Amino acid sequence: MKRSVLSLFLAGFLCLPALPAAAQNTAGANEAMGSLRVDRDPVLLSMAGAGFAMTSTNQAFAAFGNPAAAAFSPQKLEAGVSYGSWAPKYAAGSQISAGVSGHVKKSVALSLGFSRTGYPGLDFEPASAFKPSDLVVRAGVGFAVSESFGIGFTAGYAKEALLSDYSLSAFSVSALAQYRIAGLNLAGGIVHLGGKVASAYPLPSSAKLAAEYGFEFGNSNLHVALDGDYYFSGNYSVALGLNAGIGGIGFVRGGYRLASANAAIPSGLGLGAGFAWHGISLDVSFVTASETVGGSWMAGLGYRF
Amino acid sequence: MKLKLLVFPVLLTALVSCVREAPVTPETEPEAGQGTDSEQTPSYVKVLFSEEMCDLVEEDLSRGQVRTRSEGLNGLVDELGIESMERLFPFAGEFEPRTRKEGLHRWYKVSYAEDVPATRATRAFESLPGVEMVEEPLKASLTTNDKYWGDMWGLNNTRYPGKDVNVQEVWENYSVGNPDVVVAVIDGGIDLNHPDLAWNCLPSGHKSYVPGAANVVGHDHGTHVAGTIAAVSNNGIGVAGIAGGNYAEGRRGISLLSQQCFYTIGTGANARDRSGDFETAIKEAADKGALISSNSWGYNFDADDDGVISGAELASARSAHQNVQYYSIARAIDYFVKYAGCDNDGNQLPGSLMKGGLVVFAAGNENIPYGCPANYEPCLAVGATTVSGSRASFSNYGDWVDLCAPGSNIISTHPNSTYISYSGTSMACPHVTGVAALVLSYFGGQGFTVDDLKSRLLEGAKDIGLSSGSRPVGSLVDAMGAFMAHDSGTPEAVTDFTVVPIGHNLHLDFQGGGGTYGYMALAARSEEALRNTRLSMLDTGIEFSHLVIGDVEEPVAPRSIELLSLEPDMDYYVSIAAYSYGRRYSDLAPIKKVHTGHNGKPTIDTDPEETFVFRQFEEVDIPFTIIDPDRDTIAVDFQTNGRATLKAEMDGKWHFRLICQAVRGPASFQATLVASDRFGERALRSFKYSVLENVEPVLSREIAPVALNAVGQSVDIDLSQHFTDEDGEPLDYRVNSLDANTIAAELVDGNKMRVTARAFGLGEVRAAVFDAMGATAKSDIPVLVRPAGEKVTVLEGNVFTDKLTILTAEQATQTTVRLVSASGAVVASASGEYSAFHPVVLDTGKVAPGLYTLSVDIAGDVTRRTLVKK
Repeated sequence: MKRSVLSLFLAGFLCLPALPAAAQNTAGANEAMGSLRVDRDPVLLSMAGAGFAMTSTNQAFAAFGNPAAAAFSPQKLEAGVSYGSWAPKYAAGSQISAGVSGHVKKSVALSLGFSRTGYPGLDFEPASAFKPSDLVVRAGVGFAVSESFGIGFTAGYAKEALLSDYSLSAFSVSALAQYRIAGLNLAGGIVHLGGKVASAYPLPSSAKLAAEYGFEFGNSNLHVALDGDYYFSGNYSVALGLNAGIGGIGFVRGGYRLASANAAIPSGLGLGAGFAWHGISLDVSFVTASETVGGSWMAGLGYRF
Repeated sequence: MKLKLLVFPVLLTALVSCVREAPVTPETEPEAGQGTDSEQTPSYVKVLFSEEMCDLVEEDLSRGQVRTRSEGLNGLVDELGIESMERLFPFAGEFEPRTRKEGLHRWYKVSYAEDVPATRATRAFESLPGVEMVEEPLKASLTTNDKYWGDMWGLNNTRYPGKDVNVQEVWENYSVGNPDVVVAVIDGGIDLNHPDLAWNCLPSGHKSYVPGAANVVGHDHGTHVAGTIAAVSNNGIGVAGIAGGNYAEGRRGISLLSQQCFYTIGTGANARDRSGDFETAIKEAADKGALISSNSWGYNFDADDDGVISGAELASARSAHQNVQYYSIARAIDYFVKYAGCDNDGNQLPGSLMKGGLVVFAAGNENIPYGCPANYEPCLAVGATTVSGSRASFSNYGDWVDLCAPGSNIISTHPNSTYISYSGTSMACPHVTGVAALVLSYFGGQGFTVDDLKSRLLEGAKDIGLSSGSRPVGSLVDAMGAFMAHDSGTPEAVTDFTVVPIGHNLHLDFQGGGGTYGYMALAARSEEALRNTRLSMLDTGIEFSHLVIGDVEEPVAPRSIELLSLEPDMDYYVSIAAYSYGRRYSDLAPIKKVHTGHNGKPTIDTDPEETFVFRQFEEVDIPFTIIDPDRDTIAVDFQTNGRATLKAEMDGKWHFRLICQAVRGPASFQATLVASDRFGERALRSFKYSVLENVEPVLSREIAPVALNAVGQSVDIDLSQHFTDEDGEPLDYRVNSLDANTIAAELVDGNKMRVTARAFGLGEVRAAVFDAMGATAKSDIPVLVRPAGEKVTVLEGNVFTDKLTILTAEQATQTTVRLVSASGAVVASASGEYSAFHPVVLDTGKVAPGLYTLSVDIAGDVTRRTLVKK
């Protein structure tokens, strides 16, 4: 069983680069609401989006990510807030997010998340106080079916207010599975599956595979994460991230995302650092090496017990 | 200055009193109560636009649109629910040049939603820039206030001799009318099938100007007025019109033209009159050849129809009276007075009997000192008299009333072959019209003017004591007086003359006497016919010619006169009569017999060797001279195996112009000119002409794209610097805008294209040239309109759908464009050499709705703009 799951995961991962070419012809209209895929968790952002399968970090933003991983979290309750600027040279969105995840049973974790991104006022609506924004509210549940296997689901509502008289909205769900074996975390599933926006434009839905492995060096460690997404629009992205824990209180992180040309989140390098003490964590992240989202940053404050 | 009618709802009324008289043929007696008030309230105003505004909206409206490039006007479309805007004086075809010259094209009739009050519509238009004048809607009504029996005392007053229009002597000695005189009846429709009218109605051309009434329908008032003017006389039935001809003698009267402006809807007690566009009817009457306009209608100031003119109503009447010169009706009257019988330049047409037109108006029936539009100075205003020669009690009065005429109990024609008596200044007006038509029938001709006609009517009128006093209505119109006006009495007869035949023409020399206005030479084939003819109304077969001395005061002087184109080789009896200004004729000079000579053959003189060569667009003068020794009328025929046509003009002598037509390549042709006189004598001349091949015009120098920085900014492009034609022929330049919402293009100074920015954006204008043969060359010129300093323009604005058109630098520059989603994805991009005139066009049909940032990198200078895709 363990071996077969691992084999399937590896096969899927190896196939990811080949999928876009095969799916290109089916790509219709561009994806709507690409902002759904912007990271709300500063830890993941600093690893360029990798770390979906990680269970060791604060799972406060599990509702935006992987609730199945949260089911394996040893903490009773994890909460966090984040604030940052996304694509400051372009859309210049100011994003504020909050999330909470907790166990209602030992094997069941619930998570909630809220995020709002505000954009500068439109110069062509000078007489109006209206400013565009998008809003995401999500809830998730994770089940640890066994000590090594768990599943999770999220559902959420998203709305983009574009003009004073024009907005878009959508519902989406995600279904994920988590498998742990000998320090290796594997995750996979379908992310942001939903109906078409404005009757024609798909959400940035993808099939996702993620792996993470941690190396322990005394009270320090190094976690390596590899995430891959195949978007049903034909795009793909692969992200490799590192999270180094130093003395149990300091963290240095980095990662790189390689994405196809029209992927919702473009290629870029993530960097970050963190501090944790007595359950309180403070994390910062920064994105560079990207024409469109370079300069993005995020800071987050978390608490877990 | 903006003006409007200052009267509260001004009413139009046919100026008639007294219906309900027993008809002469009583089986079709009209309904009692006919002619009560009209309830029609048209939802429209008449608006005079400025030249600039008119130019702006004219093109749009001509396409049937209501929305125009005038933002202010577009605002009123929504505010007032404007349904249509159309010219008050419609496009006039060949008469359009003079219509525009007089500014009539700037008057528009604007219809709006029925629930919008007229005062609100008027105020809205008054506040609109580019509107010079607004007239509130006019309502139509008929009023009645009298009813009497009567006979035709207006033409034959046996009870009070001398108080009629004194027309019988004119009929007997001068004229009963002339079909070439067209009189327009601006009124209800004439019953064109009435047995007492049909003979004197034009066969076609009658028209309804009443909305919703497509056909001319016999109307009681209009038919009555027409009968007074020209009911057929001496036909054994009904009544006699003043200028109605003489049926028994086969002489037709003047021609009636019905310009229907009243139309009765409903019957009996529910009968209502709907009124039409009086201005258009008057204006178009001139275009149709009418020389006299008879108007038995006017503004009614009894707004509440209580039969009493209150103080406020009198004030309204005074205001209209004082401001009539500003109204649209005044413009129509001006047009009629100036252009009736004339070409577009105001010159008398060759076949016309008068230069200019006479407008006759009824003074009105309110017994007040005002009357509008009758008081407008160019009109003849007519008051009404009774059978005893006193002012009719209802007649309006004042120094502005020019003439009076019978107006009480006037019997005339009525629809459905009946007759009826009416009273009103409506009935007086056609008496003056009829007399004017008679005078014009007899005296009309080249050089006769509307002032001559008015002078005769006014000078010949009889003073019956009504032209002064507290309520004057002028002198009584007098037909015989008009004919005798300015007359100096019967002149002396010519005592002797000599006559010499020249070919089949006769040349007469004689000694002129005193007190003579002119001489008439006469020739007849029998002495008896000449001796017995009435000089004022010559019999058929009498040849004649006039020598008018006019005001020359040479009592005794040698005179010559010729009788042309008589039959050749024939005996004629010849004499001369002198006549005065009023056509009082002297006795005939002693009759002489003379034999005419042979008919001479016409000749064509030219250089027999000459071959004419010309380019296809040319008209070439041909130095042919055609001479007929007898000065007969010459008919010219031109025949050729080519496609040229000949334009021949007679101006003392013949002039010819050969007009070339398009041919394939150079070619030579043969042509023959034939001149024939009326007796069949002919002269022929053949010649050759060659036509060179046409060379088409070309765009010899490209026209650079145009950049403008502000709406309203213009630039002129001299097209003659860009188009050339090797032929050297004059080119016809034409320009138009291919994006009329953004750019306007007009031709100025004949060869310059003026490009004017109407809105920001990118468009094209087209310049084209045509040579005389229709060959053309053209150029489409891009025009960019955007604010100075703006580096990037997105034509779709900030909210786009299927595409984005991005105008960059004016010069082609390396440019990179990216459209980036809020999440950072590049969803569309382009890179290359682009410019404002070669814009970047991104296909965004598949781009999802959302917030986007457009990044435009022009040689390192980056501009970003936030857009929304819908």
